Amino acid sequence: MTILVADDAAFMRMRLKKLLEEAGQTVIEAANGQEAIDAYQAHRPSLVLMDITMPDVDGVTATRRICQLDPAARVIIVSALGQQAMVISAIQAGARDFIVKPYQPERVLDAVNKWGA
Amino acid sequence: MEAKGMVAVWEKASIPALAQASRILREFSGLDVEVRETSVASVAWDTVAGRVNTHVAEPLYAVHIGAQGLFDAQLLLLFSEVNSQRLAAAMLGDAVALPLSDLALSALAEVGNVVGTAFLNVFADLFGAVWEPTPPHVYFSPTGQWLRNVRPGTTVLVTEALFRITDEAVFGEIMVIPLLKEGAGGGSA
Repeated sequence: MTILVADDAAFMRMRLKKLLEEAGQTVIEAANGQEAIDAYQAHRPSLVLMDITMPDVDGVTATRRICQLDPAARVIIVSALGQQAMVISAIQAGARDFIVKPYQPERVLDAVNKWGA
Repeated sequence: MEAKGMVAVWEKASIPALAQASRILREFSGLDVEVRETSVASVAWDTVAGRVNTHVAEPLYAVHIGAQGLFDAQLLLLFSEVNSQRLAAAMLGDAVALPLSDLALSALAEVGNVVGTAFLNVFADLFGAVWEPTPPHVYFSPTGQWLRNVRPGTTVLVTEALFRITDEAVFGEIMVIPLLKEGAGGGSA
């Protein structure tokens, strides 16, 4: 399965990439919301792991645009921004799940298995 | 809200926020982190650098996050150069050199992002509002140089928290600086 990881922090992309590749997944990366939209259009990944706080285009906006492009898109938010209103906003934008940082690796893999199936 | 009332609310919010931030830092770094000391005060911006100098030796790394919500705020996590190196090494699970590489800086920025956002989440729950953070930026410079858009004479609320990371002996400081707007009872010193 190809998974798009969108996070402006290279450190977080590295951690998620290592985790997912060790689980047998193929990972492509984006460093902001616009890159995520472009990468989604180019690669049509099975799953997107999306941060919220990113420069230029934030993760909620990018999620909304990706879901407009492809209503079947499966986007999981992975963010430290666990405020209730933000979670609701992300779900309304089309996100299927919301993982709060710092995350347990098992939580990410469970979500990948659930939504990537 | 009057500045005095704002300080009281802020102080109340800071206690769970500091606890949550330290818990998250502990989970995130895998190190044994505890809050060593805290204080909340309303001070003139001009005196902030002097306060920092009493706790954190220069040179230091400052992780800066802006936040927009009920009122605007800026958050700073301050670590000395050596302690930034130790924290980044703990995050990456490997030794890192000084000056910090881009990847090490990214790890340090993510610590700031997660811990700073934990603060915002507590404040958001308390006030029933949303605070949206800006992406974190790491500055390496003498104290007082990391903040933008703070006019001289501005009154700010400062929450100081000294974190002790046992075994690693990493000391740092968190400053939460809500910017009191004109007419809020403390717009200028």
